Amino acid sequence: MRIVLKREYNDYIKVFDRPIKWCWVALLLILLFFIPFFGGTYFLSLMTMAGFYTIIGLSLILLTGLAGQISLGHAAFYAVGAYSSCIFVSKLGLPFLLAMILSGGVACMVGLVVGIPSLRLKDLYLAIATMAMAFIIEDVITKWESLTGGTFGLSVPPASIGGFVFDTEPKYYYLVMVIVVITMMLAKNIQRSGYGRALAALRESEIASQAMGINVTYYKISIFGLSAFYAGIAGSLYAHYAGFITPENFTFLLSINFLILIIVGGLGSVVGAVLGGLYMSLIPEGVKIITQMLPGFLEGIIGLDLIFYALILLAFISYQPEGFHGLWLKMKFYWDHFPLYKKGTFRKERKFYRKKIK
Amino acid sequence: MVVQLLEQIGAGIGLGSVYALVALGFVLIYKATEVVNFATGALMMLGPFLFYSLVVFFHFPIWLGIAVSIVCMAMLGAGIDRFILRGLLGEPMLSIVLATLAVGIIIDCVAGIIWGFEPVAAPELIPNQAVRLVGITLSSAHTLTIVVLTLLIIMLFIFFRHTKIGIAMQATAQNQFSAYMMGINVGGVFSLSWAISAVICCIAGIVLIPISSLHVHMTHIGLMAFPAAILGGLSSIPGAVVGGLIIGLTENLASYYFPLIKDSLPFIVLILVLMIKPEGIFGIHERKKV
Amino acid sequence: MQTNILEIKNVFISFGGLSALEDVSMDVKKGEIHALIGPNGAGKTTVFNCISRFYSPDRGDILFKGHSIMGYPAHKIANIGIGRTFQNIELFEQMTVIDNILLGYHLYARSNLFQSMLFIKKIREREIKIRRAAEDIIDFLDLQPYRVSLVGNIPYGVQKRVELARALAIRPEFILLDEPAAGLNKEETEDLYWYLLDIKEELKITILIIEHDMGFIMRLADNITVLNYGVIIARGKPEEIQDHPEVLTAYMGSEANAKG
Repeated sequence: MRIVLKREYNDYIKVFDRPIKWCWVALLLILLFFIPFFGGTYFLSLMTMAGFYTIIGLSLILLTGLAGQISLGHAAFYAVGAYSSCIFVSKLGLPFLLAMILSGGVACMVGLVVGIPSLRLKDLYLAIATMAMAFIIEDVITKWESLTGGTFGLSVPPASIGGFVFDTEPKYYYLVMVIVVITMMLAKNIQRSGYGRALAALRESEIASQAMGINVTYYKISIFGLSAFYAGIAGSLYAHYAGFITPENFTFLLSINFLILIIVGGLGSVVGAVLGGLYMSLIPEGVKIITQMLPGFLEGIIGLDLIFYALILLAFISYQPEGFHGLWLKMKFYWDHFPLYKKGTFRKERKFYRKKIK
Repeated sequence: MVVQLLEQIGAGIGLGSVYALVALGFVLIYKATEVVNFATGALMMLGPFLFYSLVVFFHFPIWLGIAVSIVCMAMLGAGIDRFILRGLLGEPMLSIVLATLAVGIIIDCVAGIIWGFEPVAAPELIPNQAVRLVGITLSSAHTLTIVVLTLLIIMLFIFFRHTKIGIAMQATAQNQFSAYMMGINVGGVFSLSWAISAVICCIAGIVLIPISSLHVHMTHIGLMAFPAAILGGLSSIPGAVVGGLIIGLTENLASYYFPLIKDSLPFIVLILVLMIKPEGIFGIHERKKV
Repeated sequence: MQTNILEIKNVFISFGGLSALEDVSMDVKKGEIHALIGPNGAGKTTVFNCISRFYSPDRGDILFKGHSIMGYPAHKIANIGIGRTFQNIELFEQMTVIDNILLGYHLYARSNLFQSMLFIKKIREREIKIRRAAEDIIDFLDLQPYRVSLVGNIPYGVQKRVELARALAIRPEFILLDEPAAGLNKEETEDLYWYLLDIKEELKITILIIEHDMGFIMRLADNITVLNYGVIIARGKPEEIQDHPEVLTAYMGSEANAKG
């Protein structure tokens, strides 16, 4: 059994409790750096997509995992970010980096507005409100043809920073990875700071939070704004990668996929967002491989992959609600305590009725 | 002008009756089990397709097709509750929402695989005649929905007030724990609510066939259950009906007079309701006691 | 002459036509332990909720240190120095005991979003400072064995102590305790008695406490106010209240009085 002894207050605030974990991080970064050299273009594109999904995952981890606010409409912020970035670069001629930050800002503004209902509404009603807002935003994007090209979509120029154009896969991959690492660090800092603690308090009990002087309004609205900001940045990156965006890319189903992403990845942690992002990007490949193995008549059926996603989601919700990250922690726990591990440690308590609403 | 307005109102009420039915199915499950059923639309879509297959491919007479698809949907509904949601009983709301969403997605995809994604020529339920009522003309389709809604409301009313099972369901809805203590089979009640809700959705889908053609994207109409149920009050059955009618009405009037916001209007209404009076028209304000 | 730290003046509040508090007035002197007692449903928690600004009285005023708090939002109450525990503990169950207490220092270590994201040196130093202060509370209430346990997993009696710690975490001048001894056994109640005395004498915090355990209250309180059906029926020192006829009637019915 491994025991980590904490001797100073700093030990509680540090990012990793053991220095060796930093070595793993370094190793991972080196691995990521070399992927373009031996990965192949297709794999590279998957990893780039995983990057976008990781940033979305982070935005939802902060909003839902940490602050406990449910959003069923995150694709709307993604869309706003994508469209804004495209419009800033192609119609206003702004440099890419500035456009990306600004479109994050636009998404943030929208997020602040969407956050307002959260002040009075509890989980279920908030979820429905966010869903409704997402539909309205989607409708606005579709109908505002002069700005967004409506259902015909917009074509997006490639990203460039100071003359250096990101038009090939490896270049974009590095750009995305840098941004992902930065956003991950920022998210982790939020988690271990007082701001993150206040968000967690909000999730657990609003009444107690107010009794302790936490301004619930400020935290709820600001976290919606921040979460939307992240999603907007991811949207901007996606737009300049895909080259062409239409409202069809940003449906309700995409919002659901985002939620699936964090549930499967692991709701409470930054690592969960990464795992979820990888899952979301790699799973279509996995499904393709499986369908190829199936008997011939099942091939070529549209919608089969969606069924797989849904089934996997159900499996995770029923048996492993903490996602892959939770699974990983359980395995670590097992090895840490070997051979003293008890089988019943993680068994779910069987409930016969729903608890009273909070 | 006035006649036109009245006719639009009539059509709106006709459409609203379908929304009312869907909202009924939704609210029934929420009231009994506190589960938000995002698969309502999918159930609403599956029923009519079953009916269609039975009538067109197996040559069932229409009444038998309706009866069998109702029974099948009831079993499906009960099955979803018993096998998927039973295990998720104490879980946080997010898990349950995603679970019903997943079920909805699976049903949608399976339906798409079996019947394709194009609209399908459906058997005629009733001859397509105009009905003249109080000086305004309604299509027979809309009249059918209004009649069916009224009949269902009466049946449900009798069921809940005057049968033992209905009363047991009300008891479970109000306090699950006490219901257990009184010997009510709470699990059975849950499955029954799901079964009844599935049946209502199936009927809603079937009467929808003459209005909107039969195709897999009917699921989208299921989303209208949300504005309707919220407007009326999530735990209120009369609320679902009233909410559905109002939403149908406003949507119809909007599509005629303000076509631009037609698609967003139900959701704008929903948000307005949530901001002003989240409990809806008939709902009760729940406040946590400290 | 001791000053009044809290003054409730002629407060009326009703819910849906049912009157919860009628013309309630009471004063709490600075530095004392004041008990608010009465049968169940008398409106005691309602008084607390009015002070905490979860409810707004229909009429009347509440003054804290001479200033009216009627206009304040709920989260400002902690800011001005009033702490509170809840009857059904309102703790942050998925967080550790120490995190629960650290939240109290939120007021003093205001967390700016941008500074937190960058986790600059200032944030780190603040974190360390408030952790040190939180440890003082843990020592004070003997919660060391449970420092890093999740609140949801610790025994009920300890949870009640953490609830108290949470109220103390905001370094209040005045705390509202809503049935802190409910559900505690004899030993834990005795411990609580001494903790509360320590809070009064060492930390110099004024306490307003709702309790049903009469023996406990009679030993502990300096002054008692009795509430019944939303109306104050008696005020005074414990000895006076013990034999007060109306109080006996309220608790035990008129026959008790007849027995004398």
